[in-house]
Amino acid sequence: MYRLQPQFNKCISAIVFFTLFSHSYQCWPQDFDFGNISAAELETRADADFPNANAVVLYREVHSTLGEYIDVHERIKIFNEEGYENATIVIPYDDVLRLKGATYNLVNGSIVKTELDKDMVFTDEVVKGVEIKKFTFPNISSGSIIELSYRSKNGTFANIDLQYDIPIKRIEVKITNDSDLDTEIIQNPRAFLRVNRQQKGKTLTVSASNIPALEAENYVYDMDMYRSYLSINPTSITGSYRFNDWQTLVGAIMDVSSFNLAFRRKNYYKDELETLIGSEKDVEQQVRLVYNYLKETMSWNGDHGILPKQYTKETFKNKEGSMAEINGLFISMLDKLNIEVNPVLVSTKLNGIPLTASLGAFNTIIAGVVIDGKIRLFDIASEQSNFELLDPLLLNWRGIYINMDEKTFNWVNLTDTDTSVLNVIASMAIDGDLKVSGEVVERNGGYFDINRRNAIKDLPQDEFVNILAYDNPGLELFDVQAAIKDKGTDLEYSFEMENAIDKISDKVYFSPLFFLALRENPFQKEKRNYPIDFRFKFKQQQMIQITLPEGYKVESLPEPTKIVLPDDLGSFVYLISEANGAVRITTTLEIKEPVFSYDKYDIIKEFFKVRMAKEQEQVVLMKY
Amino acid sequence: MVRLFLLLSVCYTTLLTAQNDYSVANIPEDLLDNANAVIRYESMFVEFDAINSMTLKGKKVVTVFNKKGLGAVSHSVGYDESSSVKDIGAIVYDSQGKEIKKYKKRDFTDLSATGSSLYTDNRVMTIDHTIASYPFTFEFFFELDSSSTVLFPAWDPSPIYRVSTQYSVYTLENPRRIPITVRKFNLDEFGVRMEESPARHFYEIRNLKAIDREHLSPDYTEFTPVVKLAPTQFELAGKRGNVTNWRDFGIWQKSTLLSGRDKLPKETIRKVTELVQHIEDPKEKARIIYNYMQEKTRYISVQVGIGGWQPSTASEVDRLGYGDCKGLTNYTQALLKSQGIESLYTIVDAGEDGKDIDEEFVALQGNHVILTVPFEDETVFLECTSQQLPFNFIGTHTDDRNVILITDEGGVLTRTHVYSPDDNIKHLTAELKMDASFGIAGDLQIESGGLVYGERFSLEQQSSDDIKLIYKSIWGHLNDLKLSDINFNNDKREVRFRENMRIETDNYVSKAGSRILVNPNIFKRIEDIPTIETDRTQPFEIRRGSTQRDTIRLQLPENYKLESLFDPIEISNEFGSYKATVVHSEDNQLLYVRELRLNSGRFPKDRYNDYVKFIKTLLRNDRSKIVLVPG
Repeated sequence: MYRLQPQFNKCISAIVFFTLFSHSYQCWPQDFDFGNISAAELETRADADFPNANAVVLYREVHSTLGEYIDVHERIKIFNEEGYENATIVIPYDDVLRLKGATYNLVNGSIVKTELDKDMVFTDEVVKGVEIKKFTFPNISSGSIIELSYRSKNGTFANIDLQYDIPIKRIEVKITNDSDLDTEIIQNPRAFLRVNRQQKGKTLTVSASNIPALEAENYVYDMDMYRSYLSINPTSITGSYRFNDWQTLVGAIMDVSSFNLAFRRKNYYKDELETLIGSEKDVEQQVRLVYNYLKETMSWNGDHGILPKQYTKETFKNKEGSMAEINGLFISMLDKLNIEVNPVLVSTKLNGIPLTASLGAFNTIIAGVVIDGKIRLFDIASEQSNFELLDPLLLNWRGIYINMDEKTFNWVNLTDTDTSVLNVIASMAIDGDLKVSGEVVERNGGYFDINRRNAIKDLPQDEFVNILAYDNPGLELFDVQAAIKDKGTDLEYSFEMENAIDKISDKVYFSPLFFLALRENPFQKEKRNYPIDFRFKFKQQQMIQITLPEGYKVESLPEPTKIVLPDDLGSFVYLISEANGAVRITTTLEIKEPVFSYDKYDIIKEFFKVRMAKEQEQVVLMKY
Repeated sequence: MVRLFLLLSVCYTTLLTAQNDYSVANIPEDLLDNANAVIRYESMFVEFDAINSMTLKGKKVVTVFNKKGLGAVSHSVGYDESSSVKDIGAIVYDSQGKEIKKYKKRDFTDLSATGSSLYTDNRVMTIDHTIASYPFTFEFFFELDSSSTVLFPAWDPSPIYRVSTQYSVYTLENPRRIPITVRKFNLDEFGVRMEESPARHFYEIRNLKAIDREHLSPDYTEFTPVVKLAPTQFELAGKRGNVTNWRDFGIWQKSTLLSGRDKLPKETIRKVTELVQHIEDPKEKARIIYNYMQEKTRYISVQVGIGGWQPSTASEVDRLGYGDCKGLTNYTQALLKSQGIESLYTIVDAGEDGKDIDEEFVALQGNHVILTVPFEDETVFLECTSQQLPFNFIGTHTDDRNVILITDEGGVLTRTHVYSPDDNIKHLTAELKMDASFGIAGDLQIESGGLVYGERFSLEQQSSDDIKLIYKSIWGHLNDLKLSDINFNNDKREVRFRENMRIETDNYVSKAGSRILVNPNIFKRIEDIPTIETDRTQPFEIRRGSTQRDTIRLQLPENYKLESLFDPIEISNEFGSYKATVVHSEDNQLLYVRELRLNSGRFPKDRYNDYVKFIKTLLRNDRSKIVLVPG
């Protein structure tokens, strides 16, 4: 057995060698000078590595001289009509210089070049004062290659994408830092791309090849979280600060006066606070009162930001602000009540994982309140946050709790949240005409509560029915009532369902979960590239009682079942029994991790498949 | 001048008095019924001062009760190079009618309204207001000067469902007494007060109740008050027009916007001539030319100034290899003309729900352009913006509606191609086998034609991964569906699309103790069931029909035998017909045949619930199962 290994290895290295060789020969022509296009490249009908691609970037070269300019050169191959959209280019800068572009086609065996018509390059003023360049390449057909290059003086510190929605065959990024800023350049840690990095003097070169397209998958918070890119993180402010570590970063942020002042106690809300708190002495109750008050009165304008742009007083008066401003007001008010409270720096999921001590590492602020000796985290701004839970957008690794008085900081874990519970209790009856009807109560806790609460908020009552996403032909839901309580949101409704029961000969058949059953496996893709994000841990329980029609009794029931994910990361339990002319079913689905790595995909897919089949199993009734 | 000044002051007096009380309590009871929002006050004042000058002064005050009512709020105004926003602002009131926020012109955001085009000169000024709580009242006003006068804003006091209107007024001042084309819908029915004179058009309505959307209802102009207005003399992006009938309209379009834009480079004419040189039949020539155009060009929309109305020249499209609908249509027309084939530039309201060009309203209408080619035996319609559509196939985008042809003799109305239920076919055949663990596997073929072809042929363009995902989502009820050997045959000449594949699923049946339930209707699931409507007020319209046939052979597992089948089912009525049969043969094979025909047509409102029942009956019968037992 073991003896075979060396041979096997040899075989592998031969393949690797061959592959590399073939790449360097076929796919990387010696130089990518502008206009150096070969007939062979134009003839290609599909890419060898990405045969499904409608278009590929043959070559992308970016050279950024930080603070000065950025040069971009791209060559794109269009394989078919679906790839035509890649011939339309948007450059998000207004100062595009040295723009060159051309389309190359093979016509009767010879290369025909059509230059980009400068009159057809449009400057679109997206918002007054913000201009972008837009154009499309002429004479595009299946097989065309397009090429463009330009320079811009803007955006030298912007993220540099290493991955597109089409594959990139070869990319080379050079970043030269001649400025007096220190920077740290890191790759998006959530992306898996392997790159070559080389630092020579002041220039960093990053190169990679055969980068697949970023393909959308379900159960992902946002696909852009996984895009490969380089972020350029300044680790100093014009020479005066150097963020060698998190301590100096925190120190620098605290020295910014708008930050420092935002959380200090003020006097102008004294009256409101007194009315609000009254004689309440309990700290948690006080926090809750202030939380609820601000939650009710404040509107979030959608911005995050770690530095407030308006004074706390303005936020208070305008009843509107960024996440940092609204949470800053909350911190300030609690401080006034002598509650131990401090700001917590957080990076939202889209801002990336905070790995480098740089100004962009964090992009928003929430409140850390010490209650019974423990730090509890609060956000007022987002609709997806409540007194117990933070918006899933904020559940990103860890944040920094800044002790403003002591000028110290410590890390706080952001992902440690409770299990959200959903209970569905249904009482159903099958009548003599084999129509099913009944009442359902949904008790939503945790994030289920937040979701339902937001869905019904400001919605007319007769529209409540539309938030119950049971897509089941023949089902009618009515009398939907909602009760929003402190502990959660309850929904109650009645239903009638036709065509849910089969009567064949003298037997009656039905799948006892009716519309509450899983109808489709959400995991249809054969392969998974990215983690499966359920957003939060949850436990979903359905308890159903079905009264049988007069004159029938149970002939057979499905078998009770329990399926478990490895390492007890989740489970599905199906219990069924009969008593006194009624069938009772309880199903419990539990997912104990919010995020599963992509290599668990097959197991999760199978888990849902088995669950779906089980939920379709039939109860058989016979006459007696 | 004096007269105009007086009118303006009267108008503003009305505004001021109306402004007094926007409290929710002040809304008449019956306007709250069924309303997500109430338009408290709406006025549009159009001053048509000269052929090349008009000013619009608009104001709209809306009380919004919930987020479904937000659609009734106006908060932005569009403009382009021929117009400018003189004034714009908004005031927000709380439920008591107390002012809580005021936006001035400088608070508005000025955005590009390019949308999906590559570039347009359209812009929009808009305000982004964060809503603190409901109900609130939003007042919006603007003033816009325009040198383009081709169309006035329409008066449409009940623009969306479940919004009531307390007061709406429209005034067109026309001091130069330029004749106006007016089209009025349902004004008497709703007690609209109106005054029409050569110098002034005035319409006013009070207390218009909210109405509910009814499924499949006809166009809203059939049952709500609407006035459309246009001048007979106008200016459009610097071009003058004088149009009182369709003949004039066509001649104006042709002479002002279209003529002289059909010159092609000699080289292109030579190429096209070469392509068709051995072909006699003009329709065959047209087919080849259409194909040439499709391969050479693609759709890219650029609308700047007059370019929003006038096609780019044929030579420019030839040089760039792209154009918008006007440019590509004009280009195709030029290519056909170079070979002696006459064709007609055709204006249409595109989209699956597109409307007829209203013959009674001679004015700029429609949003798209196609090409009409009359031949001896038939008239062919060409969609020039697609690289894939077959010759003479326009699909649901522009089928079955009135359009205007721009001929040498002016504008002529005609109707585009109608696809009947017999044209729109979908035939599915499958040869399948069920294994011992109740998975099924086998070969499947789907053939489609007519509008069904239009729905499916683009599958061919998808990547193989996406194709699989599309099938998996269509047949989501098939557990763990696996697909292989997928291939397509796209017969553009006959307009037939064939899909062949091999499928394999896990457990297809429902287990019921020792019995097995099998639904032989494996691939069809009716998903959209309309609901019963009481007190329906409008007739209903089914715009397109189809004919479907499924033939499925299913070999059952050896160790199971049939316990029961269902009897043949046959249903037929004005909405369509349905037939399903299942036969069991001696070799333990099922043959299931399902035939469904859905008719198109317009039906009276009292038949609606019968239609719902018909669809529900189909659903029930589609679920018919057979029972197998071990043995």
